[in-house]
Amino acid sequence: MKTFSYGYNTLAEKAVRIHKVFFNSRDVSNEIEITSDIQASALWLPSQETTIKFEIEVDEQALQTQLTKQDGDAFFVVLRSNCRGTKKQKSSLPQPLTIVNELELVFNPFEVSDAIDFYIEIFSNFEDDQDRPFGAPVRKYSILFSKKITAHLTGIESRVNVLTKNFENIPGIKAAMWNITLNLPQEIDEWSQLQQSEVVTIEINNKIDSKVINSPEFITLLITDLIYTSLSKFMVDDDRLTLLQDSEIDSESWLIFVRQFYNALFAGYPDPKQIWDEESSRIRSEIQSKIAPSTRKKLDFLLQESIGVI
Amino acid sequence: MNLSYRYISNNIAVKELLEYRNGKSFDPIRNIQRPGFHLRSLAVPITEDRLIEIRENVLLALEIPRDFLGISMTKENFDRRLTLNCKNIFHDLTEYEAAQPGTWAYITIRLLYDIALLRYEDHADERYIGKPRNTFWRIWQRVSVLGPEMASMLQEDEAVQIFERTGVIASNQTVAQTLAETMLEIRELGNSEISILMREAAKRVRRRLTIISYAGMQESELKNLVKEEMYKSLEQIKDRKNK
Repeated sequence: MKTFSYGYNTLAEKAVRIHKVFFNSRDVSNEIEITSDIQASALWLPSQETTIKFEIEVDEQALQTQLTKQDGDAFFVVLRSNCRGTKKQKSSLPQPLTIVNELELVFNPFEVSDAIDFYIEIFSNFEDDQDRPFGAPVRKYSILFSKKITAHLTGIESRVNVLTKNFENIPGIKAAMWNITLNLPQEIDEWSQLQQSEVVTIEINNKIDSKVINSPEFITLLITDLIYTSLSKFMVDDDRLTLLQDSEIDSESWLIFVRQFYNALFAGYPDPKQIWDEESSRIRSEIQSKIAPSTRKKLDFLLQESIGVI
Repeated sequence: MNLSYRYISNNIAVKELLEYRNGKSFDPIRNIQRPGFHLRSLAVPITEDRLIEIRENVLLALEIPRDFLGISMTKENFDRRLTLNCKNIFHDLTEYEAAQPGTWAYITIRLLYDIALLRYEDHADERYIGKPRNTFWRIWQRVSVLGPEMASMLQEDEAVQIFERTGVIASNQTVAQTLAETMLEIRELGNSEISILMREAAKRVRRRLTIISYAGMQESELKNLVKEEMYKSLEQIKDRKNK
């Protein structure tokens, strides 16, 4: 007898919850917001092997009521990944679905870049050539549930030019700790198409001890200055501000970087320029406060590898 | 080793490409010494000597002398020779670096522009700047998924069907390799429908793999599925032809 499929029942989105996320055995569930987009830049170094583990919890009642199965059917869960940059896929071994499952993938050094899309998939397995009940899948391996989570990585951030330089003979900045230069074209229409590395050059005074440079306090202040200086270029007129406000504008890494902080600082304010003009010192503190935790985490990784910032 | 190749953005690449189109002479040695490129911080920068070595090895692979002005080469020969030697030429290039458009923009515009012209005389931007259709990037991608031997046996339009449908097909090594293997097998049997087969089969496989969890399958099952879909496509094409 031939069985025709009129579609089959699947699990609702809410039936599966990501309970915990681990990066290299460290539970980071409290450090990141577990949504469909994970900001993983602070947890990742391209040159380091990285293991990512998701602990998922399935709603038992949903499992019993939402799916149609017959004797002999078995449900499995698998984690697969697709790296946007290197366009490489990986997958874990499928495991029988239980109420709590741990799914893990290991990424070799330099294997991934930009972002990884993870897919948690629940699928069914059964003997071929069976008659199938109405509402159950007809094909083996049919996907009963799929959830996509994107982990954004550090590719863009790591390509800022950081140089050490002798400031001794430079008038006016002899004793400065750093000098940030933003190389921006006159024509603002071009700003959306710039790469971070084309725009930003950070020169650090070579008189400063490397221990100081590699301290979270130094880096937090430096990055705060970079973000503040970058935002200031947009707070000049409405045309420039629109570049930050309109997320539909097709953008490259420079604008994405600045927009990310603009959104974090000014989302919901009707007149960002006024706040910028009147509350600049508070804005600086707010930037510091936002970046300090991730700076510390990132630095832990860098120092573990004995790399340091410079 | 944590090595950084050099990057230029596509904006810069387009500007420099335009200058060449307008008659500016190309000098790779002067280009290597010129500033205006970027490096990944936290990494050891690639040396000038290594860049010269890459250029020399490309010339060797293509079997052409340093002064190759006026030499012409078939597209097939260019691709095949480069494909067979790509891994050796770029032996220190990581997947991470190879995924950066700026890497290929630098290599093509600053280092190998005149050589790329042998393959794409029309100067089309996408063959020179950091895009997946870049002269050298496309070859790297094919080699890294299929291996040099198999990649060198595919014809251009066949490879395009695999690698320009990256969603499931090119990024899954088993799927891409089975498509290529089966393609070669069918070609060996002397089928005349070969030219449209890959196009049809790639669409078919993609459709099938969106509803099943191919990550849950055994490798042999996935291979069989891809192969089965290719032969179904072949039958379908023959049927259409006979009607």
